[in-house]
Amino acid sequence: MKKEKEIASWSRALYLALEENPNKAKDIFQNLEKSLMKKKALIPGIVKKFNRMYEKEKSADLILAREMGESDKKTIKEKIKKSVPQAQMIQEKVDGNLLAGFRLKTKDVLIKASLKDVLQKIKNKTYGHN
Amino acid sequence: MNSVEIDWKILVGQIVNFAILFFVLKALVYKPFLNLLKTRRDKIEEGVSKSIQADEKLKQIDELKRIAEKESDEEKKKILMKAEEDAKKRKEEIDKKAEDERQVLLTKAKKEAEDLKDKEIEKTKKEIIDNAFSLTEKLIKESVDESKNKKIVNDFLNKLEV
Repeated sequence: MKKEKEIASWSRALYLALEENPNKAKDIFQNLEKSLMKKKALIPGIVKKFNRMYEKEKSADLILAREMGESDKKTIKEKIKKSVPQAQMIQEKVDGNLLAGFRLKTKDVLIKASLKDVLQKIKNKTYGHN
Repeated sequence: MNSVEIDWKILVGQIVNFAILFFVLKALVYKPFLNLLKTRRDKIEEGVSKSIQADEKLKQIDELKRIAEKESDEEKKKILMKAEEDAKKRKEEIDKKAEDERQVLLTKAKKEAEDLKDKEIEKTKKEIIDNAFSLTEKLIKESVDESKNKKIVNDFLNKLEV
């Protein structure tokens, strides 16, 4: 149990450090090795936990209004990854009700970029809702 | 020719008799009779006087009665007038209360009618908006092809990058 807690604690620290300085990944790992000293056996567990955390934090659902070509989807995903740091592992789906455009759902954010959402916004304004 | 002889003795006797009779009658009959008449007259005068007094009294009583009746009439009139005034006042109060209640009911009914009207307008408005948006969605779905969708996706992505 204590080992599990230690792994969770180190993996969290690793995640935060990499998120703050993604370009210094190598240095961060070296520092981790140094810090663990005799507990280097924990490293595989820490990495595994880090990966699970990263998947959880950085995964996102891209809901498209229509099916698109693979190259288009790739371009879209690249653009999203650049603009939305939380969305680094993107799974796509199709929902025709969106009419056109897409929606992006991350752990904390929902980006409404479909005509259905635009229409809904206009509809709410017409009703007098905020 | 027979001449009338006067027997002076008889004459004197007659005169004496007459005088005695006169004085006796005067003393025993005339005076009591006069007294009786006087008493009778006094009584009659007293009766007349009392009758006059009684008439006066009667007149006074009639006058008092008339005054009393008049006062009583005045009192009755006052009571009637007061009663009439009270009734009028009461009627005014009842009328006012009824009017107030009528106004309250009218206002309430008016408000309910307004609310109902607003509700119906709102409902109709919502239905129109819903129908318009359903139609718009249908038209968009029919008109958006792959290239338009791609353009829309790129527009949104460009906004994200900004």
